[in-house]
Amino acid sequence: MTLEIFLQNAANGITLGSLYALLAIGYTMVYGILRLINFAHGEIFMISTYFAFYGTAIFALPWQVAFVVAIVLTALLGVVIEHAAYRPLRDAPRISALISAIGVSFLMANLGLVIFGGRPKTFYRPPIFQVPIELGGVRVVVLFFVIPLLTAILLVALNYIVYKTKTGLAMRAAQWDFDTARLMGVDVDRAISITFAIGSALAAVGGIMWGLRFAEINPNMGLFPGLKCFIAAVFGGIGNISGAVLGGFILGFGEIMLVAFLPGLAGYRDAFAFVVLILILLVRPTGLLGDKQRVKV
Amino acid sequence: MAEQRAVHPLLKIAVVCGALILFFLVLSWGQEHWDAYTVRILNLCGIYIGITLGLNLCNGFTGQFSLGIAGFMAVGAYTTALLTMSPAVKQAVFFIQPLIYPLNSIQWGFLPALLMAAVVSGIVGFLVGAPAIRFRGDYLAITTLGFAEIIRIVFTNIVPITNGALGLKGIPPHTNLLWSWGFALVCIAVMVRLMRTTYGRALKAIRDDEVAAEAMGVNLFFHKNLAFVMSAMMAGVGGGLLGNLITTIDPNMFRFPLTFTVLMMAVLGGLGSITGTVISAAAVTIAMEAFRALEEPRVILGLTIPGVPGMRMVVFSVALMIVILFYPKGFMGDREFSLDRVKRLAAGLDRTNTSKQG
Amino acid sequence: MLDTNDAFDASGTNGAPSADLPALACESVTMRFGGLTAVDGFNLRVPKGALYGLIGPNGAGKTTVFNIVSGVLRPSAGAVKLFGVDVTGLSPDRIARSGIARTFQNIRLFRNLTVLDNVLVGLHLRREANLAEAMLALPRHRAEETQMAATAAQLLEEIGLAGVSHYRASALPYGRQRRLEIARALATKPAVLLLDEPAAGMNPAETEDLMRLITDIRNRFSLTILLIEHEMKVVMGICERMTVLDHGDTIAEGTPEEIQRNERVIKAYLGGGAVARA
Repeated sequence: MTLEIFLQNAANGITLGSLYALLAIGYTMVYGILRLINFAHGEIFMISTYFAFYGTAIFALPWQVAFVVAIVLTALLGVVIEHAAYRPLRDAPRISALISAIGVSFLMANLGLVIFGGRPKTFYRPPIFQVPIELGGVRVVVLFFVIPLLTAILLVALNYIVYKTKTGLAMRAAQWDFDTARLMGVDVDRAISITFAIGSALAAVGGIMWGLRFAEINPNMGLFPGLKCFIAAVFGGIGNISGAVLGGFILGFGEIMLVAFLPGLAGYRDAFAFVVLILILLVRPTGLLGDKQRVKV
Repeated sequence: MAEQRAVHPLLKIAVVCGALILFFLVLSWGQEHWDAYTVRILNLCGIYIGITLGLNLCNGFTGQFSLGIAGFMAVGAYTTALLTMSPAVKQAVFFIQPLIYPLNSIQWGFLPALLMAAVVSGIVGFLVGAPAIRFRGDYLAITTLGFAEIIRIVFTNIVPITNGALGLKGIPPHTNLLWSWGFALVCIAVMVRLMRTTYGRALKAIRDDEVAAEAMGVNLFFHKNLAFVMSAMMAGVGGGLLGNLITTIDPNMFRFPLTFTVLMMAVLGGLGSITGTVISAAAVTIAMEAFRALEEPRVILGLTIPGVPGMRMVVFSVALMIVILFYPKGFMGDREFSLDRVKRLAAGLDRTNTSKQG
Repeated sequence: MLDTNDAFDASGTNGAPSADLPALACESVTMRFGGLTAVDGFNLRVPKGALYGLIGPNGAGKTTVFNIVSGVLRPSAGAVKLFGVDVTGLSPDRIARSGIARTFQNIRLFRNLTVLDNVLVGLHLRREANLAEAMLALPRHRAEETQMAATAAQLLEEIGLAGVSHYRASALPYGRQRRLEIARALATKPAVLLLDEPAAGMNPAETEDLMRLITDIRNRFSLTILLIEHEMKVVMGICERMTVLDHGDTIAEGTPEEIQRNERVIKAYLGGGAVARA
């Protein structure tokens, strides 16, 4: 393997890692506050790409507007799902909420199939992102810099919100204990809605970036990234935002590198994440950056 | 309580045996004389009853929420197929890479092949269950889902054993109504028997509160794995029967939508009711076929209405959501069909107060 | 391992060795969670057949001790001994099989099972017929099921729950749920019974009944009972000796009279400077 090929793969790895990181954050935030795997998160990601697609293709909006509108709509979608499918089951046994999440996920994927059709659509890629850059023998486009940069900016912004604002404080309080948080005057329902909104918005950013990078979108595209990004969140420490980012990067980077170094195992690419999951749950179930949790007796 | 005359146990056995013989005679006749479409649906009903009972054992009665059932079905399907296909067909099908020895030259009968499928899926079930069983709720779900995906991905890649993405064709169509409903009845019998024993109670105790169950001396590792392995075995045999029914299988059949379908059957019927599972597995199987019509183009009043692919699953997803949000216990909850209940209903004395009856 | 099938021997003469060997002992048990030390060098000697109390302010570490003894937690240091046999760190089900049973602070019944089934689960660990015999409905299994049903029914009778055996456990009123939890624990044929705040949430009449029940079962089933309780009436009323915990340390040990007069105890419960009322 030459240096050029390695760097090319590294660039791919960083890109994929950023995309996984953006998606993983949504999972970890929702799990931290509701102790629920939002199975529908992958579908939220998928639908955001279609929002953007229809914005540019059907409504002929300038791409900047279309993308922003898509992000906003996706955030709303996340909040709606929370209200309709999760909130009513807040006091029900955990299995019910889990089944509901699976149901929503499946429903949205199939609704997507029905509404958008099964044939993949081509995402609009604004030329500005496609400007080629050559660096040390590696050919990439501007997008390869935009993605990690945007991810980093968003991460900083998110950390600010979560750790330096009252809203963030409310979200963190709700993570520990609803009743106690309520007694302290925290509007738990609002905190949860905001969590979903932020997580979904980030998924939308990830979705749009994905569309720009890979150009093709289809209604089933949410399942695997969704699963992998949940695994990334677990790997990094569920409930921990930095952990999710770390997990996303490692998983994305690792997946690319696996195929690069062991092309014979390319068919097992998707299994990589699952193997990582099983290993981390066996070796260190709280994840890389997670803290220990005990079952109270 | 109304006076009950004791029914002589021999009479009970005679009636049950008589009913069974009659049942199988009808099935044999039907296999020959009913149209192929009906027979196929009835076969699927029987197969899915057994598989869904397996899922219910693990997820419902023991409370271990596993999403791996498609993986175990795959293991069973491939095992049975590879054992029952003739060497000549295998040679033709495995044209990219030949099938490994000794599989390429053997051909077994259906029953030994199914039993082997049970054994292999049981072993795989243990390999998956043993590490996974320590996780609670969501983590177990995602881990088992991961294992199922790993199994599928492995099957797609080990071409000399499974023929990879091409799958297997020409599987001998051994499955008939006797096999599929025999399977269903065996699964029902196993479940009913198990739940009547102290082991069944232990499983339900684990579901209700595993910390308390352990404190009362129930070994979690043994009992959880018991449920898990039995569930995997039932799924494996069901998968084998499925393979020999539809005669072609490929790894893509055994993805999450299949798990979802079985899960939905269990939830709709009631996670914790054998009766509910039997009814809903059959009902959903039939509905699935009926709704297939939604996805095909039809001509109504001279207008061609295009089919809408995916509509079937939209309908079922909505059904699942409605059930889980409004009727979370499903159709039967955790109640079972029993003659006592029917008698009481008939006598108009139905005071089935669910807060009192267990 | 310990054979405790004799626990139902009402005569109480198990031929136990020297009177010195305590039924339950904790030796320098320490429990650390990260930087927090919940229990520090805890020692306990509960004589055979005693009704022993474990008291202390909230957060003192009492339930942690229970969790260590019953195997839910593995102590950072120290040993737990049952009749001299080291059972430290065994899993909860093996501890149960050795002869230690418990109830929980927040009642943990099998809510969807009947009252009878709850007790029957307690009998599961002493089963002799194996899974194959059960699945094939062989005679040994059938006989055992009949026996278990009879034993459970008798136990419910003695606890006063016979009339409700077919009710769903979650349908019982609170006081009876606590009794059921005790009955279930008794079904495991323990030598030592740990009761975690059994009187919590009970009115005075129920509490009186409970006190009678506890002393009753101690005598009838030849048990050694270790009791966590906040309700002073119960503790002072039925416990023969007790240990007082505060912030993980033992601050006093003795009879109820001694404890009531102990200044450190008074201070721990009421804060510094308060005068004790007898």
